[in-house]
Amino acid sequence: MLPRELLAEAKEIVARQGAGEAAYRAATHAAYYALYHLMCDYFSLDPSKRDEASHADIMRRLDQLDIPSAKPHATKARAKYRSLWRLRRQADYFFNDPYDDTQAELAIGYADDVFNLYP
Amino acid sequence: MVMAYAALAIDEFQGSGAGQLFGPVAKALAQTDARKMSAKLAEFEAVLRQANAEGAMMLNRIRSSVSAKLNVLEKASADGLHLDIRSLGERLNAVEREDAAEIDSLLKELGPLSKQARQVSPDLAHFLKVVKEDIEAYKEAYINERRSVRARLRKMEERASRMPKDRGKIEKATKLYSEALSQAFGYAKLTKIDVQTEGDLPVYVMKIQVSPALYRDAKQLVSLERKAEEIIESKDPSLVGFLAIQYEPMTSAAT
Repeated sequence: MLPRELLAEAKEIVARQGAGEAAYRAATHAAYYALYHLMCDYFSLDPSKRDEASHADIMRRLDQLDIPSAKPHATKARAKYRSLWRLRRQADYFFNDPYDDTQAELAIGYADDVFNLYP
Repeated sequence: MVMAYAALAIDEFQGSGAGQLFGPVAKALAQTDARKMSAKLAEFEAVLRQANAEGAMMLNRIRSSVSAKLNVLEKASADGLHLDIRSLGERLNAVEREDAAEIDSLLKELGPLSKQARQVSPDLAHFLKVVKEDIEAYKEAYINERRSVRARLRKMEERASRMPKDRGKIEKATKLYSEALSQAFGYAKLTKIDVQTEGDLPVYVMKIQVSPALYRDAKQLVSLERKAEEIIESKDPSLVGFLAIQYEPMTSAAT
């Protein structure tokens, strides 16, 4: 499966009739993991190996990105990753705080910005 | 938030567990009739072996957990986050005093038993000596862990004091993001930086209050944020993506 398909699923979840908070949280999760898998692929990391492909590892690698030689989508991911990570964390763990469609759409918008530059 | 997280590292040392680990050995000895002590020696030795094994596991767990938390603290401090490191040292002192009292009372408990044991059998007297040595060794290992934490806190404090004010990465990023976001959004109200953690990495979150109408418009937020990114990129590309952004709707009191 391609990471892009996960992002497409995130969009479908939000667009579904009657989508509510659970859908917004699930869509955010999917949007984040679409980007996470795209970055694992970019850095040739095996996502099943937590010790080499943790969320922190991706952030560190993006921080150390060599901008002149990096692909445009990776440069864009560097700008968006932490904000999307924060939304995913909010969506996945903080059930007592409200989570609305705007936050889900924001997450999708961040991921879209990266995927739009991905060939 | 990162200070609360660091305080958790110090609290890991709360209660060395010496009483819980070695207490059963002392209790078993105290409750046994002096004449039957020799016969029960093998049983006591098994309890002691278990206490030593659990103690080693406990120290390993604390070591790795505390170290992970201190890694986050060191990175945040290196990024220029202002931390009250001294208060963590004071917290550690308080914890240390409590533990010393617990271990001393345990050793005190074994004092009268040693006297009895010498009258019963040399094997039992030797066993009691081993128990005391093991407690002392555990105490020493525990002190060493705290010593290494203290050394790391001291280094952190020294490094932080050498860092010129307003020159840390966080200060620079906050200033630049504030300018860029205000320019792109026109009227965004920025609040203070929140620190979250991912593994051993601190993640800095800048909260921005925007009008309720804009807060409801994700597409517009993404588009304006893109503009802010361009401004940041043009001024200091190394800071792009350094802060996570969190939007909040501006309350009427704040507008």
